[in-house]
Amino acid sequence: MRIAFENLSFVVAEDDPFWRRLVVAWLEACGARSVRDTADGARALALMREAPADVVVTDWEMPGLDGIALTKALRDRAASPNAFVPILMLTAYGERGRVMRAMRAGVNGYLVKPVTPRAFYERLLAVLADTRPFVATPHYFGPDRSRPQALVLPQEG
Amino acid sequence: MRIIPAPPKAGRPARKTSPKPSPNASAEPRPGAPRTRRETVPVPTDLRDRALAFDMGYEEALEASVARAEAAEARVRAHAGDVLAMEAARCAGVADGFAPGDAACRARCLRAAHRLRGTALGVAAPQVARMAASLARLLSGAGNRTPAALVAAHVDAVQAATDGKANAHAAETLARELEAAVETVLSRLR
Repeated sequence: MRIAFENLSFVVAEDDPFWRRLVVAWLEACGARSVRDTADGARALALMREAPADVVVTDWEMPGLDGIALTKALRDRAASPNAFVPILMLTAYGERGRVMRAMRAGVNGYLVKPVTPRAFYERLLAVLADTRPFVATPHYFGPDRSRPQALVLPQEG
Repeated sequence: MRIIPAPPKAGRPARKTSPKPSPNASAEPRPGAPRTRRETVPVPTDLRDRALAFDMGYEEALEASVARAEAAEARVRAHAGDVLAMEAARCAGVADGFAPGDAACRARCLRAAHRLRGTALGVAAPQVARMAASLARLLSGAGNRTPAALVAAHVDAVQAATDGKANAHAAETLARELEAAVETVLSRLR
């Protein structure tokens, strides 16, 4: 099994130019169909409204709309261009409370910098292969983490 | 693509799953949990169908993608110049004239410190990352009672560590002293 990058489009929201270039370079090198990048969450949301990407990779701390606010905006079923879009958060914050906050906002995956291409690929694959449904409550819309992950296998024959 | 449901955890009964769940199917609340409106919503499968391919093995695909990404990363690093020095200078510029009572100024400094921490982690400069993390902790913990002198001390230490004036051992000592100073300030404020 592999990630079919050639079928996927990405939006990368990261205010640190070094990390932004790095993530874009990884995705392009892996053959991503399209990668659009921006330094702030508001622009990322605008890019998603212009043409929804298949995956969003976002930093936490950004000027204007931060990664948490971006995630909440994307998970808002009434206004989001795609409330189910997989969101991978890539941040220097590794504290447990931060991770829990990101999960409560509705991210699918969380990676703490520094991140290697291998860790990034493996986390992205786990997010894309996730078969669990979403759950909607008055205060949350996102992956249902109370369920165990299923195993995805190729169709026989 | 076939999906094999995960086995139930030990001590828990298996969940009943229907092959085609209704979009409005409601999940049962856990015993003892407060009753909240909770709806299970199936995720459209079209992305998963496009995103996963089964034409090669997992390890083979992983190694090929990682090799390409690492080569691209090496090119980015080769052309990045001294990003750490640039971020350190940027942080120093933002912290110049730091006013603890100005919430917008504190927020700018916090973002700059956090960004410097991220860059330092990216270029394997752990002492600078510690200093930047310490500054971020000070700003978020002390708020409008942040001592401006301690902010300046962090900025000076970061610059000393990034322009080569402080060697690795000295940088580590500086980082440790800054962390201790921040801990003292925060415990006094608690």
